[in-house]
Amino acid sequence: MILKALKEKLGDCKFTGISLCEHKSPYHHIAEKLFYIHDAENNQPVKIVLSGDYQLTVNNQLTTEICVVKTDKCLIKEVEGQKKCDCILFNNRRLYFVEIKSGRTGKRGERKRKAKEQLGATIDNLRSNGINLSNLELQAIICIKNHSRKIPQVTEQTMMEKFREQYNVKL
Amino acid sequence: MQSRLIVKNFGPIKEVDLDLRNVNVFIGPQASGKSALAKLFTIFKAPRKFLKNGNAEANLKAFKDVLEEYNIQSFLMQDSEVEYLSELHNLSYKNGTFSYVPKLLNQIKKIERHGDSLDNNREKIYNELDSLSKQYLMFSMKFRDSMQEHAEQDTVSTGYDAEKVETHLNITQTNFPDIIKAIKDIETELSTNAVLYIPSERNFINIVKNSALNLLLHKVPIPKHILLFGAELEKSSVNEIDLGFLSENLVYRKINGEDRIFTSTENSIRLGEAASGVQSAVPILLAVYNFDEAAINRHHSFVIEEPELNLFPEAQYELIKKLAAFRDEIRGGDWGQLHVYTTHSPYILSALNILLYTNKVEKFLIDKSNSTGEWYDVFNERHSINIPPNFFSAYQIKDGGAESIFNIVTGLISDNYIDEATDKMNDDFDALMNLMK
Repeated sequence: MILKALKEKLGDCKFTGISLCEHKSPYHHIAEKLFYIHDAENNQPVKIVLSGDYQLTVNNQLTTEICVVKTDKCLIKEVEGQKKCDCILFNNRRLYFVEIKSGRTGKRGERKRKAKEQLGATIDNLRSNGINLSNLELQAIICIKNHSRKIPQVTEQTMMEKFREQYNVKL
Repeated sequence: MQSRLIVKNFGPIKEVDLDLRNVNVFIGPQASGKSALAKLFTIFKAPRKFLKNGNAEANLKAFKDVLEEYNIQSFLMQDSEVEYLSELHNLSYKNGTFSYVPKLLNQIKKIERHGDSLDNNREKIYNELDSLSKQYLMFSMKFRDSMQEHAEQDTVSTGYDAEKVETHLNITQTNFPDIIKAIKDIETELSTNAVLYIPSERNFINIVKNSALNLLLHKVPIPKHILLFGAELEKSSVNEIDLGFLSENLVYRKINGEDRIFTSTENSIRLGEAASGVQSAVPILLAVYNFDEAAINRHHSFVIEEPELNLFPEAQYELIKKLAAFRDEIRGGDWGQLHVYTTHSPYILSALNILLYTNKVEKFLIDKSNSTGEWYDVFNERHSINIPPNFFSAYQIKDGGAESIFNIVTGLISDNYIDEATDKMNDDFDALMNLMK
């Protein structure tokens, strides 16, 4: 249902002329038990990988089919000021919006705020295109390096609550 | 209880305007002036504790003396301005002069004057007293008690009319002076019942207790606000505190006037020998738990400097929950406890944020269904303590100013220096790790 709606409303890759992707389509179906998402930050969309560098781990214990949609630099066309997240992952029950922010270092707070805006804009984009997400459990994920011990931050707690209020999606 | 504290050119403070509520938290770097603001609040909340019915000059001297007690006398400069505004009173220090307007007392005196011609003003008096009793819970109790008492006495001679129990006709020449006296007593209590300042040096008190004579003999200069707190602790009538949140089975007991920490039923050590976390937390709880609804002149407002001192993160969270559980703000502006915390701890901020969010979630759940469902019991079991957003304020003090870090729309604490510091440390760790590639 959701795949059909995405294809109908948002179509295919908008970067076919310059894309270096092995798989040109924005929609990848995968049922591996464990796979990874890698954003090389090379002006190309994210890649699904089974080894090597990665930022997001997808633990698919039930080996159900998951569709990974490359949104940035692929499905969603480049429009000045139009924000979007890196990719969307879904199966028939859940849908995740993902923004990877771990390539560079520094300005962590600012990067988190920017990621939140990109995720929110993508949710808005889908909804404004009339894509019905109401039957899916939604979650937005910011993928950011955190090697040192995690200390609670009210900024993060409050950002999560604001996001829930605005988009009705858990960040 | 809502109040406003405006401070200009006072020590490190250039200009701040604080809207203070029942639970207030100040964050900021060292020497930013957050403790100075907390101390000014402590002083101004109960002005008649230090102003002894003197004239303007005597009041000014008393003000300077009390600044000295709190070790902030050197912060007062030529162009310093300090103003405190509340329902109870206004205080200001400006152009070297000090003024005190006891707003509530003046209001009571006005009502008292109406009593000179009681028969003509009976309705006016009743309405004014009624409006005060809506604002102050203790007024309400005393006022309605007096009315009831006289109505019952009247019943004997005139026959009891239940409908008249709370009407203006029950104000008589006989009971009017009693009512005025009762509410004046409450006003006096509110104006003299000082905030207890719990300093960050609180564990020092356990250490010096046994060497007090030596310290006196050698004239060791100990700031008076620390001694004041020590003296208050000695008066505490709390005999036992469960310290299970610090360590399993840990209990504080006062045995023959001595503070002891029990690690089991038989084994105990002196408080001064206990772990530093115990030495920091016990004085706070001894002060806050020393609260008796029936007794007047007990502290029910507290400034707690760095409640996190020496405590493991989970214990910080539990301490904040214990402190929040002991407040009771919804029962009236003159009742319940008022807390000001100064902190550097992300755990304290996060604990307060959780209590604010608990309030929000509870409201959401109640609106969604009803408060009798099974879900409510489950929720309440884990989250019975909360802080309503309109009873909370949070400020970050830096570079002489104060910025609110409380987002009234979300009802939660927003971006702040403590979290920025965490981000910076994580960034540095990342940058180092990238060099290992």
